[in-house]
Amino acid sequence: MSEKIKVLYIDDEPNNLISFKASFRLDYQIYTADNTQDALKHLESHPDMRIIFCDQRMPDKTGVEFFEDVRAKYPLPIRILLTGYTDIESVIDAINKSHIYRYVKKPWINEDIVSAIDEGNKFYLANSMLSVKNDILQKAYNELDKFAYSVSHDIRGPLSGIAGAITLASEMNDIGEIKDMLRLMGKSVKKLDEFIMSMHDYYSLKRGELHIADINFDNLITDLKEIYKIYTTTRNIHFETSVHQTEPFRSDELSLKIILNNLLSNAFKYQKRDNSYHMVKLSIDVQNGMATFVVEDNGVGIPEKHIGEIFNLFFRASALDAGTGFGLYNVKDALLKLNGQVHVDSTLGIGSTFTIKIPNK
Amino acid sequence: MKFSFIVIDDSELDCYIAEKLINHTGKSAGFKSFIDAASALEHISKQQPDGDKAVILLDIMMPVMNGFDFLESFITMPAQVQQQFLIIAITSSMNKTDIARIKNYEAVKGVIDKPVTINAVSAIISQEGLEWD
Repeated sequence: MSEKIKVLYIDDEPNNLISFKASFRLDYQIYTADNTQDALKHLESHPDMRIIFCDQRMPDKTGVEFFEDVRAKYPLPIRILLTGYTDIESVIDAINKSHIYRYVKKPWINEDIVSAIDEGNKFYLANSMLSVKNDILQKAYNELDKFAYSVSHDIRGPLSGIAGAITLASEMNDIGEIKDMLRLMGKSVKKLDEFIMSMHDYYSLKRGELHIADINFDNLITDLKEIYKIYTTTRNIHFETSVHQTEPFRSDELSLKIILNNLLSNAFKYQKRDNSYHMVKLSIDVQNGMATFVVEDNGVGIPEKHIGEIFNLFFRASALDAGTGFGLYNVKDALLKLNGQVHVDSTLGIGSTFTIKIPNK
Repeated sequence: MKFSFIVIDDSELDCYIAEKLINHTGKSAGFKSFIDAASALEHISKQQPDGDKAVILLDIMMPVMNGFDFLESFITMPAQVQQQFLIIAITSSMNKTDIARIKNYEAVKGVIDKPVTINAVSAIISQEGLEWD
């Protein structure tokens, strides 16, 4: 273990404190106090204190009373009582009320102290592991709640629209109107499909493992150009790309693609209708073990008050009927896996620039 | 009496369906739809009271300004503006908390599950003691 276990010992007899410190200071980091006030100061300044030994018989209060007080404010350290046989009744009571983890009889022998510290430490680790796991579980539950909430809206929404459209269209005779309806139904189907695809990305990012390999940026760019061809040709959006690479770059291609695809599809989707010149720019620069990706557009931009929220699950900053609320959350998740960072510059009505930095693996 | 209709829904398809449904009744005095609640709010605030009532079909879950945000602004408007409108909430979310919360607004006269039907709309209108013909 790199750092020594921190142990606090409270006893009103200075000789006991000195001999305790002398016996154990090589193996553990020992703090001592001859009164409960000083002991509380130690706990205050060392929140990572693992084990507390306390003498039962002290002038101002008993060890059991001290542990009762300490437990409320510092529940994590393991509490061990030092006492002679005469106090056995209060010890049993204290153990049963779980004020203390165990007791060591006085005068102590070194082996008992060492074993109490080791056992106590194991118990401490198991407990803290449990609370870490609990936090993770709680987070997963919260996300599941959000999911259930959004799924009923984002999946059922387009479906109920389509169902309504079918009923209506079957009563229509005008072929022009029916075609209008079909176009809008197509849009809803596409939206639903996008939602499901991003849900798939979300899941592969959560559960999938990284496959680290050399990234060929020229191939990547060719793929991306193919995907966005429909925008560049039908909507007349200029797509500029550049790669500057001085060394090989290793990373997980799937995560990289999820990041770039989401940023680019946003850049293509959130264009300004009344602009005469539409552009999306992607530049990739690899040097000194770091890849920098810049995705720039001259689209609608993001309102300043929403920039802090855009990476949240199911958050949408635009009323344009295009987003799923998944994309940038997936970007953030993928970056977390690759130890990457993102920086956003955006001005409403002028455009957005996302700068991504990912270290070589 | 005849009503005009305002639909506020971020789904273009749902707006279109509502328009067709309502026009098809032949009992509509006008129709307008908005895919964002902010523009709808602006439009409503500029309406001059003329004694006619308008029915607002309001989607609950929308990005940027949702149905709740819309209502919070709506209830701060002058009473004579508010009185011109009858608000019906529409939803696809089936979320009980949302539905209970939206029903709490006095301005909201009913909640309809999507897809919207004319029967559901006219049931709420007549439940308000109004005649739609």
